Amino acid sequence: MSDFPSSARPGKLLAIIGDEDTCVGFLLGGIGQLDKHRKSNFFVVDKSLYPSATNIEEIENAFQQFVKRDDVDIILINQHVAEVIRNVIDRHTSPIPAVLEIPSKDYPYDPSKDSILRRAKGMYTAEDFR
Amino acid sequence: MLWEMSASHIEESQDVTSQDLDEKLDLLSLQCLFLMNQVISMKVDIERRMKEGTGMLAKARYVMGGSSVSTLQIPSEEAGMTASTLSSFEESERMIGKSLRLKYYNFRVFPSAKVKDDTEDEVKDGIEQKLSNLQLDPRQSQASNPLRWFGVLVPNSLREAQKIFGGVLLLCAECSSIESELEAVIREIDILNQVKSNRQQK
Repeated sequence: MSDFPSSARPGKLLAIIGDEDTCVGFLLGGIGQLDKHRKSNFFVVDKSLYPSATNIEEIENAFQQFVKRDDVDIILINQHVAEVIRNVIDRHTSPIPAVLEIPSKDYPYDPSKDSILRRAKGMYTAEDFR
Repeated sequence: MLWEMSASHIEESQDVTSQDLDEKLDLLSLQCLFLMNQVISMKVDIERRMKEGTGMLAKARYVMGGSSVSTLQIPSEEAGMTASTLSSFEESERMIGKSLRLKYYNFRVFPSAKVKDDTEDEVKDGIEQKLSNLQLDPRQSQASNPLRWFGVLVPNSLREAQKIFGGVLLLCAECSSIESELEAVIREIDILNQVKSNRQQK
C-alpha cells in the first residue's frame, strides 16, 4: 500500500454488470471480490435469458445493490445492458458510485445512447445547432 | 459533496454582468464539446482494447477447450476471490478561463499489475505510458492471481488477455473522471442558464 500517494489510497471496489466475456475479462484483471456472505461485485447477464422480464428485474436489482454498497466506487456496465435498465440508470444522479457505460464485443459503442452524452446534448436546443 | 454547491454558485453568479455571463457560457460550452469528444474517443479506445482482450480469451478457449474459460471457473468461496485491483477517488479542480472553477471527482484504479514509476521518462503520453509499463506484480504469481482459476499451466493468450483487461481498467478510471468533469460542466451551464433566464424575465 505504500506505493500509493496518501491522498488517493485505494480501497474501494469496481463492480461490473455485463455479458460473460466482459465479466470474465475484468475478473481476470483482478476486480472480483466475494465477501463472507458470498455477495459478489459482478453480475453476469445470461444471453440465453436476455431480455426476458425476469432477467431485466434481476439486472435492475443487481444495479441497485451495487449503488447501495458503500465499498463500490465505479460501476461498469455494458451499454446494451444499460439500455435495458435505462430508466434506473437515468435516475442515478449521485456522483459516487460513478456509472460507466462500456461497449462489448457484440455491441459497438453508440454515443447517442450514452446517458451522460444525451444529457449534455439535451442542454442545447435545435436553435443552438443552427 | 461537490454536487451540493449549486445554490451558492447561483448567488455568486448574480453579480456578474451579462457579457461575463455569456463569455462564461461560451467557455463552458466549448469545454463541454471538448469533454464529449474525449469521452467518445476514450470509449472507442476501450472498445478496441476489449475486442483485443476477448479475442485473446477466444484463443485461450481454443487451446484449453470450449467451456474452460467461462464463469464456471470463477470461485464461489470467499477465500478464492479477493479483489487485487482497487480504486479510489479524490476531489479535483479545474480553472476554465479566469474565474470559472470546476470541481469534480478524479478516479484512479490501482491494478494488480504494478505500474512502474513513470517520472523517469516523461516523453510518452500519460495513459499510454502506464499501459506500456504494465508489468505483472510478483505478488500476482501467488494464489491470488485470477489466472490460477483456469489452471496451473495456462496459455499465453490468457496472460495477454489479463494484461489487456488490466489496461482497460486504467482507461475506465480515466473515462469516469472525464465524465465527472463533464457532469460538473453541465451543472454549471444549467446554473448560468437559470441566472440568464431570470435576468431576461426581469
